Amino acid sequence: MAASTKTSFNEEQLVQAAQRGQLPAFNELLLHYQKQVYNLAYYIMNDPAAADDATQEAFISAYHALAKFRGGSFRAWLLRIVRNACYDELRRYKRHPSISWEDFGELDKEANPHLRAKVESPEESLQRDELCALLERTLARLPAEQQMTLFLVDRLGLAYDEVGATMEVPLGTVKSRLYRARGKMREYLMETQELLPPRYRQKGSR
Amino acid sequence: MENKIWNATELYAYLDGELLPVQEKALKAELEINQSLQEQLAQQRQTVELLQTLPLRETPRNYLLTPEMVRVAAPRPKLRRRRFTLWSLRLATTFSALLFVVALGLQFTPLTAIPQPLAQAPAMMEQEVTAEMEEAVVMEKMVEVEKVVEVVASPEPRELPAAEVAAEEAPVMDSALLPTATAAAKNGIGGEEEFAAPLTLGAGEAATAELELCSLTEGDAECGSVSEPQPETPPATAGAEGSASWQNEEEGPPSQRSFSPWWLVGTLGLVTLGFASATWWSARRN
Repeated sequence: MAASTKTSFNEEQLVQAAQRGQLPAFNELLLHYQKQVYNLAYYIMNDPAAADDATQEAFISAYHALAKFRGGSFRAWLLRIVRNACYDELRRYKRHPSISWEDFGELDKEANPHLRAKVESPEESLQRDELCALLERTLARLPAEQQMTLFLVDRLGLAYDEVGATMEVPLGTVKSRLYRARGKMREYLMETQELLPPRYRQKGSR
Repeated sequence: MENKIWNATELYAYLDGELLPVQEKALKAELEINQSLQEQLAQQRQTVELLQTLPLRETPRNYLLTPEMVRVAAPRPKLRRRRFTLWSLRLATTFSALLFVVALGLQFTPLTAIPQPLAQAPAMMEQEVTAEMEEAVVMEKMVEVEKVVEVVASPEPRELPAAEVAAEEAPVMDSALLPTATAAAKNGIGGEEEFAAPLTLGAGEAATAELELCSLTEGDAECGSVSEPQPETPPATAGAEGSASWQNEEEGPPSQRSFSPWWLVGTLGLVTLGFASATWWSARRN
C-alpha cells in the first residue's frame, strides 16, 4: 500500500495538464510510475530487453491515449496499457509469460538504492539471495492469475480496486484470488520453512 | 458485530488497509480480546511481509518522452491500415480458396450427378446440328450423282424430252427430294409408254451412281435393287430419329463433361496462390 499512499505530487493536475498536451507534465507522471510500469512489463515478458521496449511503447501509447482517460486511478489505467501492450507482444512472439525473479536479486544489489543504502554483510546478502530464490520457486507454483494478483498487490502495492481495473476483473475476484494465492504461498513456504529466515519460521500453518 | 466470525479474506483486507472504517474498528476491538484471532492475523502478516521482501527491479533507463518521439509515434493509423490490408487479404485468400475447391469439386463431378434434361441439353443441340449437316451433304451428293447421270446419258443419239428424263430419274432419286420432277412425270409430260422404252444408259455407270447414292444413305441393305425407290426421311422424321438416338445414349456411358472448365479451375488456383503469397508477405511486414 506504500506506493499508493506515497503520492505527494498532484496527480490530477498533472493528468489534466498532460491531457492539454503538456509533455513535461506527462513526463513527471512517467517518472513517478516508470519503475512500477517496468517491473510489471518485466514480470510479464520475463526478459529485460522486451520489458524495456514494452515500457517505452506503453508510455508512448499512453500519451496518445490520454484523451480517453476519464478519471479514476491513473496508475491502474497506465498499468492496464502496459499489461495489454505486453500481452500483444507476447502473442506476437508466441511466448508464454512466466514469473522469474532470479535476476531481480542480482540487479537490485547494485541498482536498488534501498539495498545500497543499507550496508549488508555477506551473510545477510546470501540469505537474501536464498530467500529470493525460494520465493520465486514458490510463486511459480501458483496459477498465473493468482501470481499476477499477488504481484500487483504485494509487489507494486496497488489497492484492490486498482488491481481490478488493471486486470479487468471485479473486486470480489481480486479478493478471492488474493486470499487463495496467499494461503497457498504460506502452505508451500511452510513445507520448506527450514530454509526461511528464523523470524519467518512458524509452528503452525495458517 | 460482537459475534462476527472474521474470515481470512477480511483479515487480509485489514492488513492491506482495504476494510471499511466501521469494520476496521470492529476488528480492532475483537483483536483486543480474541487471542486466536491475533495469532491468525500474525501468521497472515508474516506471509504478506515475506512476499513484500522482494525488492522491485530498477529501471535500466529513464523513459522520458521527447517531442520527437511523440511525433514519430504519431502515425499509428498506418499500422491500422496495414492490419486492415492484412485482414482483407486473408479474407480474399479464404474466399478464392473456397471458390477453387468448389470449382475443383465440380470438375470431378460427372454430369450423371446432375438432372438429366439439364445435363443432356448441349448433347441434344449438337446432335440436331449434326443431323442437319448430314442431310445437306446427302443432298449435295445426290445433285452430283444427277449430273453424272446426265453426262453419261448425253452421248446417246436419241434425244429424250426433259420430262422423260426426269421421269426416268425419279425412281432413282428420292421422290420427296425432287418433287417438281416427279410431278412433271406424273402429269403426263413423259408418260408410261415412253418411259418403257429402253434408255440407252450405260448399265455399268448407272449402277455405280446408284451405289454411290446408296452408300450415302444409311440403309445399305435396302439398296439392293435400283428400281425400288428409297424414301428419304423427311425433316420431321429425321428429328424424331435424332431424339431417339440421344435417348439411346442415355443408357450408354455417362458423359465426361463437367460444369467448371479447366481454365476456370486453373485461374482460381493461381488467384488463390497469389492472395496467399500477398497475405504471407503482408503478415511478415506486420
